[in-house]
Amino acid sequence: MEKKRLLKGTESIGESAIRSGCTAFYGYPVPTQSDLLEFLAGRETETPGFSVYQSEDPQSAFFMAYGAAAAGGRVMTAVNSIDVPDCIRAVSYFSAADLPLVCVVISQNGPGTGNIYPAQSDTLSLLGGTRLGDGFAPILTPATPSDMAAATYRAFQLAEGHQMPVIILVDAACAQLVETVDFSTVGYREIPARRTPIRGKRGNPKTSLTTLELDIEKMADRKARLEAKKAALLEETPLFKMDDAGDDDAPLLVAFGIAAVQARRAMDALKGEGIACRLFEPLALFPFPEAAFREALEKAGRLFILDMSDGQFDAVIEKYIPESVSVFNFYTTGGAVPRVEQIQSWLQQEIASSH
Amino acid sequence: MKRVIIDQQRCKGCGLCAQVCPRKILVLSGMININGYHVVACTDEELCMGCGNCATVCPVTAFEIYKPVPIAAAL
Amino acid sequence: MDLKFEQIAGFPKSLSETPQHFCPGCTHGVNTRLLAEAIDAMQVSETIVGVCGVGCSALLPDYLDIDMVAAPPGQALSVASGLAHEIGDSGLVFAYVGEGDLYGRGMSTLMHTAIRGEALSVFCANNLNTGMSGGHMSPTSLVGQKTASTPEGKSAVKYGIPIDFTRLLTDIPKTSFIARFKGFTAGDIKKGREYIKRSLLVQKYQRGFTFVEILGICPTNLEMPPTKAVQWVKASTSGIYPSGILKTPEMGRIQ
Repeated sequence: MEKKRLLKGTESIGESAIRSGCTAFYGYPVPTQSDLLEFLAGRETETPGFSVYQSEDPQSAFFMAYGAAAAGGRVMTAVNSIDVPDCIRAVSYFSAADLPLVCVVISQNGPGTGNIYPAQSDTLSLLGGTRLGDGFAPILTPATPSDMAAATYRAFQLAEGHQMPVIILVDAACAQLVETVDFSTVGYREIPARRTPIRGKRGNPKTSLTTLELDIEKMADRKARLEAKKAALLEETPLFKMDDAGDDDAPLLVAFGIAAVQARRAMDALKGEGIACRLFEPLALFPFPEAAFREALEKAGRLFILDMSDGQFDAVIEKYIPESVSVFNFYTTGGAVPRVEQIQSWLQQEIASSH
Repeated sequence: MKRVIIDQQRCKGCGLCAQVCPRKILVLSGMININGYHVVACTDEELCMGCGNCATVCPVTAFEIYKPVPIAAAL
Repeated sequence: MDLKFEQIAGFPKSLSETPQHFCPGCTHGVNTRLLAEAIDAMQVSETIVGVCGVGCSALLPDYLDIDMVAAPPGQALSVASGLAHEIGDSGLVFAYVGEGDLYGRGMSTLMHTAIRGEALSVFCANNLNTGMSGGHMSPTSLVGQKTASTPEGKSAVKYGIPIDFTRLLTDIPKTSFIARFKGFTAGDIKKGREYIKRSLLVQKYQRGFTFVEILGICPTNLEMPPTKAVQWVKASTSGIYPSGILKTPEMGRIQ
């Protein structure tokens, strides 16, 4: 396999999934994420041990994946914002059954059918929704195709390592970003399979995989097991990127996805004008890189939050922000990606006025 | 040798077997099992012809049926 | 005359000793036993994986001594498809699902699984109501049938007239063996045992989608003693859900 390829976001995820040992992709074509299905369908024949199935609806895709995972498969699915409820339901079942899944969620604009322009309005529904029945799933938020390749490999590591569902949340703009992805930097290694597949007893005692539990105490045990997994997950290396201006008390920007990409561009432009900023980009919303964020905030008197929703990202991070920090928000909604000049003038204005 | 063995702890007294028995030798007895069900009993095993209808319709697999077959005389 | 005693009925090896939760007279118990008998007869207990749907069938993993996966509502055949993809021809996969689950919210999954022709044996326990939910109307409830959600009887004006879903599947090119039997009459159960075996056999050697509907009784929700429920279901379904083989791989659609 060649090391470098020019790919767009969704394709980078697909390529990385194959390199991470994914055995089956279950997809359903809905705009903003169907190119992942298309890309993988094109790779199917040349990849032994890897299959692509198109299901009749997104929910079936999740539960075909459930069956395949139970039989030992390493599975991936993808949905867009509209089908986040199916994703949430699946996360609940995969959590309860201790099965690994990597689910790609491409965020588009809503509410309702909305449009296919990018948004970051699935943050709270995914963070809260995956708690359905006390289930949970890590939510990774890579922004560039290279980050997506790394995040996909990380997602499979987490999914197999903890036997849990993992979500890769990407907005529809990042999904279309194109760049040269150097897969050799990801450092792929064989991910060991950790569970006994259900393929008939074959000489062993029988295995029943059921999420139905009538016994209250046994149900409490299941929840305790999930709590232990969550604790173990919090021990994992926090995922974030910090663009440092070398100046600890420079204003701090926080953003993820396409907002972070645009923020970085705006910062470069501002640097020319002698304004230094720092950017904190979480590469996971759960577990949120809390310690690193708090540390970055320590010296920053001002925090600039850039988000493409009506403030959902604020709700996620507000608990980490001390009262002494002044917070400035920039939201875009309707599917508009914040333009570099917009961010630039917003920062210039706010930085000047808050001095 | 017993021909009709009924696991009376499994029996739930639904009475489906009594309905299909051609010899009418299965009855819901007055006996109650550990679960509180009136259990079925066989009144006369000698009359059982081994059709297996009772075991076939029994939802709880409570029957073990042995059918008497003549041993062919040695040639 | 000397007699010897030949065992003609007993406890199948693949049936677990666990006491079953089914109500007295419930034919889920018969179905479970028939599955165990077919698995034993085919000697596939080591390589078969079962999938169960929701409701009364959801506890099947406790009652069969084989590997089993329980599926969420409406998704039993998706889970079974996924298992079948991964297991391939190294084993068998069957699904045991109630009709409320399969023909209700699982309808599109049922149709598409059949259209894809997944190598599966699907057993549908049709007892004319959603049993464990509490006896509500199901897609196969008869017109006029009193259920928990249709206390005055199922209205044809509001809910239409139920159809024979099993027959519907015979039109799908990739379905191979389709049959139905009553799980409460001795004659039919004896035939049904062969249907179940046949469906596993077809799956094993021809990798086809096979479907057997088992008409059953739910005395609790029909609010009848089991013996009366048998008579009532037999009489009221004879026109709409007749027993017999509807399709075979050799002859195609029959009747």
